[in-house]
Amino acid sequence: MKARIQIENLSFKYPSRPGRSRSYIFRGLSAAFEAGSSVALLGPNGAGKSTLLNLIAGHLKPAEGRALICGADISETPSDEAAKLISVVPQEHHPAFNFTAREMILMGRSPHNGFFGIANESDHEIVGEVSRKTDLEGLLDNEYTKLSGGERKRVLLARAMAQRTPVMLFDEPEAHLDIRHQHMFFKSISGLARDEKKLCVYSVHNPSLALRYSTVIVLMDACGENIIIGPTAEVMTCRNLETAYGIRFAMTREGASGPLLYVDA
Amino acid sequence: MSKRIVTVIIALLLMLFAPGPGAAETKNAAPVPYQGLDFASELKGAPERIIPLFPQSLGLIYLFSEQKNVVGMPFTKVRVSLHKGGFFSQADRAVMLKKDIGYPGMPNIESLIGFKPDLIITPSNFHMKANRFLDDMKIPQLRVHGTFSKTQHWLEAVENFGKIVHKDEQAKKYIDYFESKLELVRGRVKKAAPERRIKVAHLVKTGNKYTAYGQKSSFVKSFLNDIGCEVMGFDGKDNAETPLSQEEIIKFDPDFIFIESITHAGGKVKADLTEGFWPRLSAYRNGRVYFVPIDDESAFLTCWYFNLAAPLGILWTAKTIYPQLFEDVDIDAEADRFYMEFLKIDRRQMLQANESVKKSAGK
Amino acid sequence: MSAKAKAWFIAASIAAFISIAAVSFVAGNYGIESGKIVSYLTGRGALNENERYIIFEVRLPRIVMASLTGAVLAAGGVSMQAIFRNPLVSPFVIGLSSGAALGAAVGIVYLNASAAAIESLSFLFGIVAVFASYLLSGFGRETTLLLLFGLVATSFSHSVIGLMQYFADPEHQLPALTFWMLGGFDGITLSSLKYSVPVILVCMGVLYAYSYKMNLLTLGDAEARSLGVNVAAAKFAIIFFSTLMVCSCVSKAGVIGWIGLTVPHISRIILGPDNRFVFVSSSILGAAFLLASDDLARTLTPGEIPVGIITSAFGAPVFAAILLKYRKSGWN
Repeated sequence: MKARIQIENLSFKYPSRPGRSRSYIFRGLSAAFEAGSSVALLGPNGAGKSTLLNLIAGHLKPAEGRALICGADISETPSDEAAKLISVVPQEHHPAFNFTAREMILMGRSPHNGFFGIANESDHEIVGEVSRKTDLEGLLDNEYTKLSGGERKRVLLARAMAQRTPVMLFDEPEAHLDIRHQHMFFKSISGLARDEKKLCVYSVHNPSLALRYSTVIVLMDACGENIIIGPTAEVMTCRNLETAYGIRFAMTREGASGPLLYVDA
Repeated sequence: MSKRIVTVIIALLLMLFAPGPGAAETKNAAPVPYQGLDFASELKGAPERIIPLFPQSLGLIYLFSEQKNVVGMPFTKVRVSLHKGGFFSQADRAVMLKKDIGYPGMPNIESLIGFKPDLIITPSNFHMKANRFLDDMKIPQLRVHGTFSKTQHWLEAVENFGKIVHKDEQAKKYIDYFESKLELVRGRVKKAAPERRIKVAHLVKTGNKYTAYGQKSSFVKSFLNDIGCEVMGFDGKDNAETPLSQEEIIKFDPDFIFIESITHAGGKVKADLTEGFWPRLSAYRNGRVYFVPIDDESAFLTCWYFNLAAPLGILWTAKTIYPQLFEDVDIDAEADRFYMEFLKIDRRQMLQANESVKKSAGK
Repeated sequence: MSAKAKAWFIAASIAAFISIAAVSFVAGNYGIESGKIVSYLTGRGALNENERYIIFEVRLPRIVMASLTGAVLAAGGVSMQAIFRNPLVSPFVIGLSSGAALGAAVGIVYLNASAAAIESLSFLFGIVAVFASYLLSGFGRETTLLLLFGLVATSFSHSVIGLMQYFADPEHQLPALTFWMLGGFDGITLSSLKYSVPVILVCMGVLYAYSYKMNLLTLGDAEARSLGVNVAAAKFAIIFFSTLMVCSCVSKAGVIGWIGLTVPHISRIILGPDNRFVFVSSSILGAAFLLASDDLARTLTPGEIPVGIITSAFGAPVFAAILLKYRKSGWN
């Protein structure tokens, strides 16, 4: 199935947020993302990155409009069907029970395995394949809770990959990772989009990472009203970033692997 | 959302039906407190293997000298001491050879059946799980009103048990004795008609806790009320056991305080009283705090306010409150006679064995 | 541990359970020789009327109910631990036990009801307490809220029970209430089992079918949803069926502690966290543990010891030993 996210006239109403004046966010947002893109949701804290991600995942229900994933309205899709369209890589967490890395990755196969989750040969092959790609082969029988932060993140990525969905969502993939692991992780995400024609959408705090690895940028300002969507080169200008974040940025075109962005305040 | 509410309500309704058949099965009969004999037809002649299920009913056994026919005892709650001259050494030397039937009201049905009883004395006042099995096995049961909080409960049980063991005369003799003492006291107090009702508090001491109300004292309370006393907290009903309220007793300020304790510890009890609020009470200052006599500490059924020896308690209380009215009554001699006549026990010996216990531990 | 080793472990626990059950038929204060029972069962010997009664009317219902209750409490513990993502919650965590006790208190103190009616009332109140917490917390959407409302239901029931004890008639009702609270399997008859046994078996079956969803639920609601679980429906089914079966047992046998906590924990140490195995082995071990405890309860003394005392006496030290292990290695 060809990956496609289509957002039509989307608005979201917060149930109640004490101390915040606005209860609506996005107000008729429309956008479309195609297979093979890696989309960064960028903006300051409270702009609504996670809200938009949750709307696309179907965890939140829009007040108006809809989000179509591969043509299906996600908030109307039963969760077992939705899980075949979208996989989510959550932020790092500590489960209360000590599953092994293999068991965690196998859980990615649950939407395909029926009620009782019995894994067959091909499921084990898929686990082998994704763990090769994420460099986890030697760690499969270790307890997930005893792995390092970077390894845990890769297990979650492998689980999403095992889910074999056209659309993959990532909640702040750089969180809790050192700078080397951040780059390695984003490299894997771009690889998924480029080589496997997945549609990857992630929220991200560091504009440099978005500049370096994303093909499409959704840039929101602090109140989620002005949203700029477009290819990276067009959206990532110092002026746009300054409007969104309210601090000065500078950019140089002379980096070894493309332009470099830094804060110039 | 509304769909979910409907689901939950339907689910709840379904759950309510789940136990329905179980409830319908035995809608009948909450346990009605009654006294009497079940499966009497199974009883051929006087019983020879008796099991009293709870300690309060032991008085029946010894009153009718049926100890040789008893096979099981609730030893969890009956502490037997066989010191020379004491209650058990005189009345029932072989008591320790009897089987233990465990915690009263919660017997082990297998043990119970294994002892092959031909009469079980059970409480009628609450529903015991083992009743179902005893009924199935058609074992004769004498149901008695466990705590004997009313005089008539106790006397009725005496009459019933007397019939079963074919000792009606003994039952009649005891009941007559009991009633004559009650009548004597009531009559004299009524005739004398004291101008003022005397204020009395009756407390039960367990461990270091004083209880002002409770089923253990309701018999005593109604009796005190009958002989012209104003009893603290008396309302003719059985109250829940309630710890003594210091404010209440200070406000009531009784003339007499009777303390019933089956956990005497010699002189130590009295030492307790010198502290706290006690010295504020006029009963204490006038030396009118009394411990109810117990002839043998190790046998609670020798307590004078308890069912068996209650006639002695009646006399002793009356003489303590109205010394002039009952000048002619020699309580000690009366008690000696009572023990010899009804229990075949030498009370002098029993008291010697229990020197630590003073028969009326005044202040 | 490989799947094969897990299967062997489960087979071994079944064998242990069967041997305990066999011992339970022979053990008892009445004293019937095992040879006599075997020859009766194989049709070669006879038992007298008392012996038949003891084995089939006294021991058999107890054995059935004690094993089922053990299985139900352990499996209920596994289910609730998955819902709350916490290995330290018991099946009583959202108000069930205190609600059931309140129902019994109402039956004894206000309605002066028969034993069967008291049982039904405690069943109903236990269920109402759980569903009050469930509805108040917005259909269990917020797990923390559900836990806290469970706490509210528990404390509220306890205060009402206290009030009832205070006003109870001390001669008839107070001892009846006290004995109900002590619990135990004395007084279980075959006829009282004919409704609860099918209910319990159905509930166990449904919950076992959900055991894989429980694995996913332990990761958190959002993650479970993105892995394809209908979280609201799964939570409702798990709470509904575990409440139904735990309540049927509690209303008959009173509140028996420690099994729902200790047994799943031991199973997890041996088998790992996969609930498809933990559920089965906890049920079997729970049944074996409670059956053995009940055997002790009815044979250690000539009387009855409330079985809850025995399960705590064994459960608490075992749990302490497990915790000491964690002190060395850290919780996770």
